[in-house]
Amino acid sequence: MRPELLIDQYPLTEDEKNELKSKKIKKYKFSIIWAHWLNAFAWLVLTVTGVAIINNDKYNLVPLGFTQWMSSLFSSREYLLKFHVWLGIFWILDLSLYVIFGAKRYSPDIKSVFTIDTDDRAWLVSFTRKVMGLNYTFPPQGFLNAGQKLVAMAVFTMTPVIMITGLIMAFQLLPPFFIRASILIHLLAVGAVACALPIHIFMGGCKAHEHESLKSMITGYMSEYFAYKHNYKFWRDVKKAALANKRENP
Amino acid sequence: MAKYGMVFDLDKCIGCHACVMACRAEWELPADKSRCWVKPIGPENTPYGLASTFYIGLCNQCEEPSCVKECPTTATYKADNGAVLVNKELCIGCGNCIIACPYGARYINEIDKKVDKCTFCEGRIQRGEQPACVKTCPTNARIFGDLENKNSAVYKKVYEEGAVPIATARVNLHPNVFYLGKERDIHLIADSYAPAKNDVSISNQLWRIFSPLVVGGASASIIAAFIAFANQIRKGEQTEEDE
Ligand code: HEM
Repeated sequence: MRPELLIDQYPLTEDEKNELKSKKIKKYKFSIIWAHWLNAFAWLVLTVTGVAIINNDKYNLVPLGFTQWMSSLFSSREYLLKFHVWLGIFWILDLSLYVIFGAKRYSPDIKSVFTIDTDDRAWLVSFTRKVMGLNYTFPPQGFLNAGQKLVAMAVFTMTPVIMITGLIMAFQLLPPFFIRASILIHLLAVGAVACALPIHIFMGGCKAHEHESLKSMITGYMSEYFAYKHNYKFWRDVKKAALANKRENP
Repeated sequence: MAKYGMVFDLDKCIGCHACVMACRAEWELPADKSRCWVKPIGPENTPYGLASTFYIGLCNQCEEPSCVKECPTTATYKADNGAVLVNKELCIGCGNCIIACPYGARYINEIDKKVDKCTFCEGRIQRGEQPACVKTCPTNARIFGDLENKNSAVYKKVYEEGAVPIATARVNLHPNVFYLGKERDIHLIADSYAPAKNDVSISNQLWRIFSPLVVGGASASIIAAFIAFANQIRKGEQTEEDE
């Protein structure tokens, strides 16, 4: 492998491509994969049950028929609400474990999610040009690209808001004024994430590229070639660390 | 199915508050809360002369209840027997209905933190009994019964003796609670406790503005994802080199 590949994202030769395609790089730990899929499951079910809960003539998000159908699925509207609340609590407990035991370990990762650097800004411009059908080149990206960072930012900031407002409503934790405010804030926080999720699910779950992204969120590993192309700075840092490690412990 | 209503005979009320106590005892309410009230008003001058009476009240079990419209979870509903009820399993204690009620007939019960109100003594009336306040009233100032039954006392008081609801031209939710008495006393109550404009909370108003935006945004995102997916299928799987 050419040393300059560790300096910048140079175009690869056929041999290098084949070499990188045959190797795997670890992207996600099992604990993160578990959190992601449990969170995704909770999100999907909480959203479908949640939109069905608020439904009278004046205030609704879905047609009445959907609410009636969901209610009959859970036997009654009361059980639909109870299910939503208890799944929400399960979701909160599960993710709290990550905060309690992982706050220290994951805080650098969280910090990097919230840092948008020059490459990220350039990526966003290129992405917009791509969507608009203009010519574009993507700058090298880190562990997450700027689009993924935006999704993660929305998820990380809105999740506590959704949880807290949910608990306030479910258990009347504060006076009515705050319960009323919670109804609105819960909607807005979920809405902010819900606007990004369909795109995220398409990008992560349906986009081709041999589904390397999806594989990384299932097995933890993606091909080095994919990482080189899409997460160059992450790939480079892993390689550099491996080299340094080899030098120190030959 | 009966349609229940209540009539207050102001000439008979002596302001003893026995009804309020009976209500509190029947429903084990916190000491400072009751689902009905008796408020002395007057003496005051009215166009019909000097008036002094008691404003006896409870939920008017309106035909077109503004509270029901404002309840986001449909916990508040109009029952078949005409009473407006709160399903405590669905109530989240947001108080939108309290703001919407122009009669101040609703409050938060501190014990369960949910909305509480007069139910015409649901349970008692199902057993064929009278509501606790009616049963207790020593002067029979409260008359309860079926407004659709021509032989009932309430029917006679409303449709033959001319008992009237407390409503205004601007706020008329068609109450099923009526007042009988001297013109000046009814005028004094209607004047002093005219139903305020039924309000919509700020959060509910904002909800109406933002909910279409949220639904629109999420739908647009779903459509964009589908278009992208369709394009991918149309063009076939791109290899890394094509990107
Ligand atoms: C069935 C639906 C979903 C699929 C198929 C899916 C797929 C993926 C994949 C493949 C990745 C890894 C991306 C990469 O590293 O290349 C990922 C990351 C992530 N997912 Fe999902 N996901 C789904 C639902 C969700 C939901 C519901 C949420 C949160 C509300 C979520 C939040 C995240 C976050 C925060 C990341 C990390 C960084 C990012 O890509 O933004 N995902 N997802």
